Amino acid sequence: MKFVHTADWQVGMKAEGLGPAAARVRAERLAAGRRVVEAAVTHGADFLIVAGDLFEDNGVERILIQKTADILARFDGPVYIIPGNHDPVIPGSVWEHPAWNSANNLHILTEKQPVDIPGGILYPCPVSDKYSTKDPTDWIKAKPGNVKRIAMAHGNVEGLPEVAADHPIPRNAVERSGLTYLALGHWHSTVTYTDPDGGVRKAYCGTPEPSRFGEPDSGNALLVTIDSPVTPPGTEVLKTGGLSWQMIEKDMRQIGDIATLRQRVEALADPDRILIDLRLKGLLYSKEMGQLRHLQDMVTARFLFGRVDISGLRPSPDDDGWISALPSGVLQDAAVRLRNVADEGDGTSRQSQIASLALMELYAMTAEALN
Amino acid sequence: MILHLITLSNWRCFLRSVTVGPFGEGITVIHGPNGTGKSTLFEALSRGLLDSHSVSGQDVTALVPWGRALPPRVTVEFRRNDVDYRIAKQFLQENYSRLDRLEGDIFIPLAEGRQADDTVRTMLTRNPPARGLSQPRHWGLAQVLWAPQGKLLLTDLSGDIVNDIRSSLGAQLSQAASSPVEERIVDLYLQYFTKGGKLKSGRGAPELSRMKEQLVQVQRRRQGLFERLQLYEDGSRRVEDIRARRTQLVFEAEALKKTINDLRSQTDAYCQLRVEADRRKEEARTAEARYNQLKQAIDHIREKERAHTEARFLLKTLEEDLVAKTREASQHKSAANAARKTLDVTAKEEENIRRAEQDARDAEDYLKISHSREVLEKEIERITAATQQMQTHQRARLQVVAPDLTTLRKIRKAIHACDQAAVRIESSLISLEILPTRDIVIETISGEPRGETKALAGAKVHLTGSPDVVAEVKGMARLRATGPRGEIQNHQAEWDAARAQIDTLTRPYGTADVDQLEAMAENAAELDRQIRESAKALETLLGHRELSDMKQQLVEKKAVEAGFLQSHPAWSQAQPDFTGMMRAVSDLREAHGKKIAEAHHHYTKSQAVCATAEEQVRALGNRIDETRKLVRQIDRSLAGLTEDGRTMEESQVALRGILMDREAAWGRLQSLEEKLGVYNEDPLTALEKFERQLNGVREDARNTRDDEMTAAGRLATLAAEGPYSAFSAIDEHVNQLIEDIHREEMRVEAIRLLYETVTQCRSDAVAAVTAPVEARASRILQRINGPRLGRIRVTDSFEPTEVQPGAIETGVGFENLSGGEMEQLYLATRLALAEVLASKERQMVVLDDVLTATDAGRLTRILGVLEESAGRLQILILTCHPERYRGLGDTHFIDLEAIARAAGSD
Repeated sequence: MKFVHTADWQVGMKAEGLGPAAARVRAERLAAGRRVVEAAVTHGADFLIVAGDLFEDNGVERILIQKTADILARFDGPVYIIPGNHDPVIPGSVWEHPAWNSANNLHILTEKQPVDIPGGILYPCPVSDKYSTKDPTDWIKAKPGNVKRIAMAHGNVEGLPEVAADHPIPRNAVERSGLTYLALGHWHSTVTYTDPDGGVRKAYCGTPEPSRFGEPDSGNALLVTIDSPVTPPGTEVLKTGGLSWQMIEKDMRQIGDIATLRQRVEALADPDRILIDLRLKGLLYSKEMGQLRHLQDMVTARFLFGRVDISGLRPSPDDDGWISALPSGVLQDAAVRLRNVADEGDGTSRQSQIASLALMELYAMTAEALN
Repeated sequence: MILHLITLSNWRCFLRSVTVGPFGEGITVIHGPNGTGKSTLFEALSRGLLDSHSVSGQDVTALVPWGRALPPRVTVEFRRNDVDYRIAKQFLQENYSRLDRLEGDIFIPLAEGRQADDTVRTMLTRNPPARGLSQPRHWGLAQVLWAPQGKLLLTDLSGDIVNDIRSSLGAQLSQAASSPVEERIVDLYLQYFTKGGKLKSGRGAPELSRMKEQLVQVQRRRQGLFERLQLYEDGSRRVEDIRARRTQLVFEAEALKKTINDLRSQTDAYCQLRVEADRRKEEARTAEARYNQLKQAIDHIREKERAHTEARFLLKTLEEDLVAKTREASQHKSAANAARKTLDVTAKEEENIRRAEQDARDAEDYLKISHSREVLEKEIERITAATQQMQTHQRARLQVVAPDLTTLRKIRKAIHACDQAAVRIESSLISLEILPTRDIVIETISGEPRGETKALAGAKVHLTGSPDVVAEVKGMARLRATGPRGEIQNHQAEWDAARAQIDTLTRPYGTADVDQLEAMAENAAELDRQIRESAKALETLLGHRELSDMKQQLVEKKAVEAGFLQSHPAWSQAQPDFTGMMRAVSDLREAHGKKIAEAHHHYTKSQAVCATAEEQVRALGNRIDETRKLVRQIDRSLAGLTEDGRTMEESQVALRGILMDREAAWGRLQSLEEKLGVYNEDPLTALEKFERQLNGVREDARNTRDDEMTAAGRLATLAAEGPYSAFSAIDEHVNQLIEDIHREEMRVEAIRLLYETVTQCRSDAVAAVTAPVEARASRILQRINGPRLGRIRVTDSFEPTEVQPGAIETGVGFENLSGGEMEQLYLATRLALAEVLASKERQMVVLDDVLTATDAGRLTRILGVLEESAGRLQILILTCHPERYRGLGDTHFIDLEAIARAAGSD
């Protein structure tokens, strides 16, 4: 038995703070879905299971439902789908859309009933509430027999630190329910739980397309191979992500750091598929203000999405040269005053940040006048 | 720059060439009457130094002397930076400009034409006019140093002069290189903010404002979409709830159906029992009714028989009582009659008492009428006497004929008039007095006494007459005396008239003697007085009564009195004793009263007893009638009750039989009811209740299905909108806008901070510059004006704006100052600025007829200030009051009129 385990497509996801790139980011989620189906076809999977959160919300545009159904319908085998906590089976949900009736291979499993699948039995655990403290796998009563039992559930595996008990799934669900493999959804990073015998009998496949900055190991699906009901299944990570979300935090300490960073950022390949979030803190030298501006312009213009946060930068206290170089009088006095405000406290207060910006503005004007 | 001299010709009033100067380096006062050309001199100085020689226009042609066509010329010799120059210009026709420099002892040409113009101008200003004549704003330093006539105020100083002043003060303000930066900062600031510091809005609003407006709109739309999303989610919950409800209703319906089915089987058994029980109940009731009926009938007969017996017994008793009571009533009647007779007898005695009382009343009345008759008689006597007396007086009066006072007055008046007439006649008579010395005979021919009169010697003879007196003394002479004619006739007529009147008035009285007439009048008056007194006394006695009425009353009283005496003849002998009679009546009445009260009481009592007895007899009679009726009624009832012919025993037997039937029926009923008692309630009722409930549940289920369909329809409609996608798209937009706005706000705040910091630094720098000028000008003003106005405040362009008296913290505007104080304030400011400008080179100050509103006291102090300033400044004063400046020490006075006269100008 070979199947592709995917989940958390989050079709129609809100792409907050990405500006014009949001539409592209949302579109990429469907593209990732296509890649999942293609990978399933390429690897000769017998069936495809989607362990919940196919959609970001039950209130997504209906055209997205049709598109998603069309993508999944392209798989040449059955596709088993359970609702997740983002798209639970409730009145008015995406599951009522007629698109699911347009293809025979799409099976929306909304009942806690075992389903015969090619080579085994599938135990779906559909979600019918956004939040629940009930174990969704609780109903699975394993019966003895030499049958491959696959379960698909959506929730938090118990034991994760600082994680709320939301649709909690016990760590021993596999053993308790006599399962061969438990396909999990909910977490966007790919996580496999290795048993003492080295086998992986439960895993989060992760979202097929990264969904935010700082999300580790996402953009994947899992290819699961089960030879027998008792031997551990084999899992292979399939890369399906199309965009790269890169968050770079850099502490500027000396002259040249900005230039170095700029070079590094410039070297990133395929910028059209990169979302980049630069967070700079530390010291800003007057000589580097031009470099900084260049970096900001480049980041904004080159990449699919680019943001440079300089709120953590403050003028270097050692960098008085350009202020001293100003003609004595109003401008010099003003520059000194602004620098003093920028240096107040640890330089992170709003007033300090504003003073830093004002100082940079003054520097730019005086530099322009000198030129 | 120091002025040496100025020469002008063909310049307004200066037709011939006039040279004014040389000027010393201290104070020079150029004086002359109005129209001498002082201000023209000032104008020529400014034109010569600042205007282009080739300038044209009405203002230039106005320089030409009236009626001439001559080109105005001016030459100014001056020193600047220790170099002496001479600029000569001619305007209009054949205009030229020539600048010479003193080299050695001679002036060597330095520049001509435009070059000469520019060279001199740049010594004073960096802001020449583009074309046309220069205005004060083009004068450069002269804006401060030269005060034209009537223009002592300092306003709108050009930037160059301001910079020069600042430069002179050594102010370290931004150099030229930074000015563009400051301008850029200001420009950038004004892109976002108004001059008042508010963020721009409207058409000129910066992007930030637009973004904020957009954010508001988008947030509004977001709110709408959020509400749609909420509606969608609420709709889903509602459909879920409705479905749950419907499911619940289905379960309820199923449960109810099962209950109903169970109940139905129970109901059938119950119904059968119920029917049987009802039938038995009916039987029992019927038996009960028969029993009751028969028993009731038997009881009724027994009751009637008992009543009959009682009635008959009662009747007999009543009849016996009636006989006794009748007898008793008769006895009481007789007693009452006897009491009545006694009462009547006693009542008759009342009559005697009444008669006695009447006699006493009559006696009283008789006494009253007698007394009043006596009184009346006396009154009538008095009245009669008074009347007679009055009549006596009247008769006496009638005998007297006397004039009344009016007549008497007339008589006196006539007598007086007669006397007056006689006097006048006497006085108008011709009088001839003859005093013979021997006995003579006088014959009066005219006059009185007429005839002959013997006149003895020594005895006067007086003759009078009119119009003359003629007397003849026989044998001796005829004497004739004459006098005025005419009047005596009038007087005589008057006397005759008076006499006639006297006769007329006194004729009735028989005498004309006034005394007699007066005596008559007095007598008549006395008699009248007596008559009045008598009449008054009579009136008092009558007292508004008529004597006839009184006499009539007397007659009536006598008649009444006679009537009393007729009925009581003894009274004519002796007066009745009214008091004794009344006392006797009172005694009789008292005794009679007791007697009659007793008789009355006795009668009343016996009457009451009699009435009671009779009433009792009547009552007994009524009761006997009623009892008889009752007996008859009972007889009739009994007849009705026994018309079935059954005897009492037979009825009792029948009753026992019915009783047994009844007991049997109730026993059967009880056993059925025990069976029914197993059921807690009527299963039919419960069945109906559950069936109603089931119908209700079904109805609810139908309604719920309808609601579900409606809600599902609405939900589908909402879902079709893709509310989440719509909301998240706009939420992204909102968040993006917020982020952008935050970024822009930070930038805008940075621009504001930069602007405000630069502005504050500039203000601080300017304050450092203006402070010295303020201090200097304030010191000068205080020397002139005293401490009242305090400190002068100037702008950063060194224009005075207000004064700040020491006593208050806020400034005082110039509208609160007098004209003189304004002059002194601006003079102090100009002098302070002039001293600043003269810090590197001595400068010329020109004051053209200023200080016109300054009083002599302050002017004296100003002169002191000017003397001191002359140590650093060349001061030219143009005035038509040179005497005001005579107090200045070491001052050169130039009489412009004299100069012009000498030059032969127009």
